[in-house]
Amino acid sequence: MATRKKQPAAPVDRRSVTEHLDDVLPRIDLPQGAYAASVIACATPLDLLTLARNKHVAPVLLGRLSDTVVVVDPEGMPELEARLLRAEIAAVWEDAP
Amino acid sequence: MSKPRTTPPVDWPGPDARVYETQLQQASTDAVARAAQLIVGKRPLGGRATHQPLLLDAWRDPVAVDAAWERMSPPVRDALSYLAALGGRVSLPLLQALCFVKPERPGTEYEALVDALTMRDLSQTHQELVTLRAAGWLIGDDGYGSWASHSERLAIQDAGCWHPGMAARRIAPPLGQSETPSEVVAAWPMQMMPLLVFLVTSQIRQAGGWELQRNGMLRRPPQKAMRVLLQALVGSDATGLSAEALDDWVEFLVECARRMGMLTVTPPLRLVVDAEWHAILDTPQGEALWLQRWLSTCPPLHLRNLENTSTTYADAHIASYLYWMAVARQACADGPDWVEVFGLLPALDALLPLTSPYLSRGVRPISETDRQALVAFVFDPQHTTAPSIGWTERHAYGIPLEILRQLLPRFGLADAGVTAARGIALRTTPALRAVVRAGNPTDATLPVAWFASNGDLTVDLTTVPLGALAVLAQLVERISRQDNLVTMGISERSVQAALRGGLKQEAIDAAIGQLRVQSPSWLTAATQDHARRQSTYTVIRQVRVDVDKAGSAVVSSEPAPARPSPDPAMVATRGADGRLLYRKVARLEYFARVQRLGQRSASGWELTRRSVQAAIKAGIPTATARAWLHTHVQWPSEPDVWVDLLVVANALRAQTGKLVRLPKSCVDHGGLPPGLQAFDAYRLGNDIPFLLVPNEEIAAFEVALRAAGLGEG
Repeated sequence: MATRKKQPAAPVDRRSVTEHLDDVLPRIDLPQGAYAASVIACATPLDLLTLARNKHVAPVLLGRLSDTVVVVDPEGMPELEARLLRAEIAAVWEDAP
Repeated sequence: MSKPRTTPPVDWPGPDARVYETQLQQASTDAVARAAQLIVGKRPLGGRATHQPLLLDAWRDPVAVDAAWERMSPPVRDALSYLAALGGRVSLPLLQALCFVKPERPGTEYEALVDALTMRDLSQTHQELVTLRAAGWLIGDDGYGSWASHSERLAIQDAGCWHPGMAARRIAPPLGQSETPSEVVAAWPMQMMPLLVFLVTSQIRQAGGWELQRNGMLRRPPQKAMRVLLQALVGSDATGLSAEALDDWVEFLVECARRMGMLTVTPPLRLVVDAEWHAILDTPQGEALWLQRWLSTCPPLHLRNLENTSTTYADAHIASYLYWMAVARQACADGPDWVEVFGLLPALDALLPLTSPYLSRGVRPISETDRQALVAFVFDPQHTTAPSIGWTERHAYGIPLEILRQLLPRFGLADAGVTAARGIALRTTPALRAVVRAGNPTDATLPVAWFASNGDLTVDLTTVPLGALAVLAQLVERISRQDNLVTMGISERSVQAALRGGLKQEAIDAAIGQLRVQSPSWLTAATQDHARRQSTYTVIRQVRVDVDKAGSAVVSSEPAPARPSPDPAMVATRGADGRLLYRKVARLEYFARVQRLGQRSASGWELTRRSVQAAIKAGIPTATARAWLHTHVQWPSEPDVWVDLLVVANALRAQTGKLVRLPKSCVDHGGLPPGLQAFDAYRLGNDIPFLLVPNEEIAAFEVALRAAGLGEG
């Protein structure tokens, strides 16, 4: 009985989600201080990675503050809702105090 | 309920018609000749020289003309004078007649006339204008064609007159007169005219018997009877024709003509009407059926934003019908008495989602003052000051008011006017209540909607709760209608889209509950899935971000800092090695934009060709990247041509041609070598050593390049 030739296994990407995020959407380095920004808070880093890799939403994302918080360009805010709709991503909208 | 027939009755012309023919032959020679003058052949004879005496003859009372002219406001006089280019009050009949008989003027001027003639003006001059329009229509076959181009107006006004009950209601008591001393009813005074016009022009255009078409239109009225009517309308002596009793449905016509002074003969007259037409109209169901046909064939709303494709137009028709039914039901909610329009406004606001996706989305609430101004603006023709609100708000809140003021009264379904007790008010008629089945007791246990297996939801417009209807309209991705049964195509995808658009799950649950149907499992799954997804992402506008010394950022619940002034946008200086040296600025997004285009290295942030390219590849538009580079990055050394080049090349490379690098000497010496000067137009800039050569020129360019001894770039 002929033995089936074993296919080489696909290389396993063992990098962490954070390392993937660094490739797609690096963290922002900021001088000490207080800033104002519009952000999207994600439940998990994986959700943020999904968001950053979405072609509809990515153009308005500037960088991330942490593994779960991403900054949105103020000029992209008016169209963010439409972009989320196109990406079929549901989100809760809040106004900061 | 009997179905309308589509073929003429077989017994026409019947015995009655023969009677009339005999009577007609017995009529005076003048009357026959005059009628014949109008209807010989299929077109009227004579030009204006013939028409004017007829018109002036129709206008019997010059004193009334003067009085009417004096009552008109200056803009109306100006409009009339301008349109006919004649001027002068004595020519008012002629002006009017010319306007309608020979509408050789552009439609905009016609529109201007209609706009100028406010409802109140028309009410005041009701009888005169009716007379004139009748006369105008009588002599002008062309007039019908011009009106046909205004299909909405024609359809609406035709529809408003076809029903004998409604038309008669409009005529007795005469419009323009108060029903009680304290009320001024701003009703549309032209209700009966299109009927006259339609009958007469139909007679002129066609010959034959009755035909009640499937769409409810009545075509080809009986020739003999119409001749009698013509004689009556032109004021001929028709004494010999009055032997028979008046038929009900034409009684109002004759009465109208008599009131206008156009009918010299004393009723009764009698015209023969198709018995089946009568049978349809005589029942409340027939009345409702007839009205729905008309209402569904004329577009009541001007949804200007909708694309005029067949699909969206059809959907817009149904949406319009849905909306006007909802508004009509709301207007009927308080019974047959006068209802203050202001009291209807909150309920009408809840119907906003039914208007149009273009109007219902993004409509902001307006103040109470603006609402009052809008109502006054819509309902009071003398109130010319428009409220200072946006276009979207004006239409979203104005359309239901226009339905109440224009559409329903035109169909004879409501009176809109000003009462002493209630101000701007509305009163529905029995006809409207029959259409929406107001007051009919419904079994509270029976469902008012049905889910099909494919997810389609069928609702009965006369029983479905209006609040539920407004919610369901936001879930619809397809729609179709059969009379008052509307089938809404709803899918999991459309439900989730509506939820993402801001519709609350509780609203959907409440709407389904109001329908008294079991919510299908897929709908429940869709809402639950949305809720799960929604908890994943939260967009927070203008949050405060605190950054400590170590550089870690924390989103704070404190108020965000104010925007600094002045607000320098230059964030970083790029060194020769590509490293970025930051300055301290107060805007987070400035840092973020520069870093979005850069890349982190061991020694800090760098801005390189590869980093910019990666950012563009990741989705940052080329123009945006270019703008950010120029706005936020300072270039202290010589201009980094490669950055500009990269941006330009990215934008142009794919479509236009090939980017060819030249030796820097070509740039430094201020021009291309002699052999390449023919390609000077393809330079990207004086200091940029690149040419963007179109694809079709590449071969020739390479030859020239080798000839110049430069080889391939």
